[in-house]
Amino acid sequence: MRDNLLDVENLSMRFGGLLAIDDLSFSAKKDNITSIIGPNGAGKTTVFNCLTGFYKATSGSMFLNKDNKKLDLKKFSDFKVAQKAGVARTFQNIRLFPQMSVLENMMVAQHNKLMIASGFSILGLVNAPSFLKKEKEAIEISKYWLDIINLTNRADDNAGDLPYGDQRKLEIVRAMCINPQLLCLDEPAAGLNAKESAELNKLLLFIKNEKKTGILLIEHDMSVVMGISDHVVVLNYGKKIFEGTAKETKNSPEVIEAYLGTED
Amino acid sequence: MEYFLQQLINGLTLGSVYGLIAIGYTMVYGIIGMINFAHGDIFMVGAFVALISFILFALTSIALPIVLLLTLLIAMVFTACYGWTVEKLAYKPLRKSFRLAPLISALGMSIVLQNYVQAAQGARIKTLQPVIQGGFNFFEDSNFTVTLSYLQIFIVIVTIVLMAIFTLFITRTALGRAQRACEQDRTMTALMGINVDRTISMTFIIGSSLASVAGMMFVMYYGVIDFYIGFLAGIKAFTAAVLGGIGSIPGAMLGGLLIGLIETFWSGYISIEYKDIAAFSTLVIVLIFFPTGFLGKPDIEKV
Repeated sequence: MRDNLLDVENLSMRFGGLLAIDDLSFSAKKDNITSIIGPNGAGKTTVFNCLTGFYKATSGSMFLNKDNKKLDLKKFSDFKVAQKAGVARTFQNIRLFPQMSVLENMMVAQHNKLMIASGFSILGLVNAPSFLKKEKEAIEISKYWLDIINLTNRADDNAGDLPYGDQRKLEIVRAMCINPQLLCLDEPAAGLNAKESAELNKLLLFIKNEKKTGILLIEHDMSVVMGISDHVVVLNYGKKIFEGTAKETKNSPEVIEAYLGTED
Repeated sequence: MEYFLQQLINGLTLGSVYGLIAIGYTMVYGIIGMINFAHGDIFMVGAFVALISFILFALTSIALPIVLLLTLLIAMVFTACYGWTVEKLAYKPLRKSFRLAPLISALGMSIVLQNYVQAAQGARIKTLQPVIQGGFNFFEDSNFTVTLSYLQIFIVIVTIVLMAIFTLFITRTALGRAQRACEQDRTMTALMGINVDRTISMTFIIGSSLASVAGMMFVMYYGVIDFYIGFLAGIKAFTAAVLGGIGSIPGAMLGGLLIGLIETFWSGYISIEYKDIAAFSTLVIVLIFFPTGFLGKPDIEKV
């Protein structure tokens, strides 16, 4: 379909004798939150690792629709996933740069445009006006996002010193600084309390509605998944067992079986 | 008192040279976690390039300040190419290998560079006539005259200027920021769309060009070099980096100065024959009491 942001077709990933993803197909729409859920070991993170070039998928294809061009995500690896394809991701554990300030974390994500503006650092060293202008813009963008998550007053503190919930949110807005088409979030609500996950929901809805960025979400916290997902894909043992809206998923016998087991 | 002052001046000069080399060690360690044992030899190559360029310029009638500047630039550019090539050939292919592999490869590169220079330039020592002569004399009426030569001033000033530019580069520019990001989390840096390989190459280029400046200072200060100078100077700069806390850039500068001072005072007051022992025993003692060096951050792993 034309309006799909991401098309995953017949994706399989094999590690020796283990088929971690088995013939998985799903799509994610632009300005939609698509959740991938499933019991532990279902292959959710493996899907992300394939999408972001950490693993080379054994077979199948992944296409990203960027500016009406179909990009084959299999062809991108390493830094090009973010730079060329515009796919951003976070991990299950927090991966900020803990010894850099909050603002610097945001600026690192805007490295590529600053690098060009600074003439590969030469203009940056002499503080050329063209570079200063670009840098100021980058700071403005950072400030915009920090305002949204209420961290502007802590911009100069080390990211590692923030409370856990703030670090989670900072990771997400940092990923937004690379201007992604698709934002892949791996368990962003893990370890958050009820108030913090409500704030997270708000932030994700803002990104979806205001920034029109597609979000792919792996999550165990059902209050997050059911509260904000437009579309849910359920995996078990690497296979897709169900796909539908949040409400349909909640009532699906297959999903209940995968999570709770069957009565014998 | 006069004697002490003289040793202080000499120590600071020597310390500047060590500090410049130590930055290269500490940067590479910070970003890819390996000790670049070929760095001392990169310094040696820098000294040779500077020597050759001085000799060539001596044939022309270009004014001294321009000669100094041009030599500085030529040494930096050539040596940066060496550093870049060494990284591409010897370390990059081993990046995903086990931790010791690039270390062994570095030792190999060190031997290759030494033998290459020995084969290309001969094994005998090379000498350079003093390029900058004269200086200020203090306390001339007492029994010990303190001399602060123009060359020493030149060395210290160039070092301070380079370190200032370098500090600005690391703290202010996008590339410096990317470099610090790589030090903390390379995977995440790549996911921010930053070309990590290129950032690592830049680290080698910058480290090598600073080492080449140290090489140029060395050949001007001592006037004698051979293909083997990189070994001892390299080991001492490495000591300096560890002393200051490996991975920490201000630490490398501080460590360099300390090693220079300790070595000079030891040879001035105790024994010149055993001056190398002074630097290394300091290292042992410091590591017992400050295992992470003076400015190094302890590696705390959160469970």
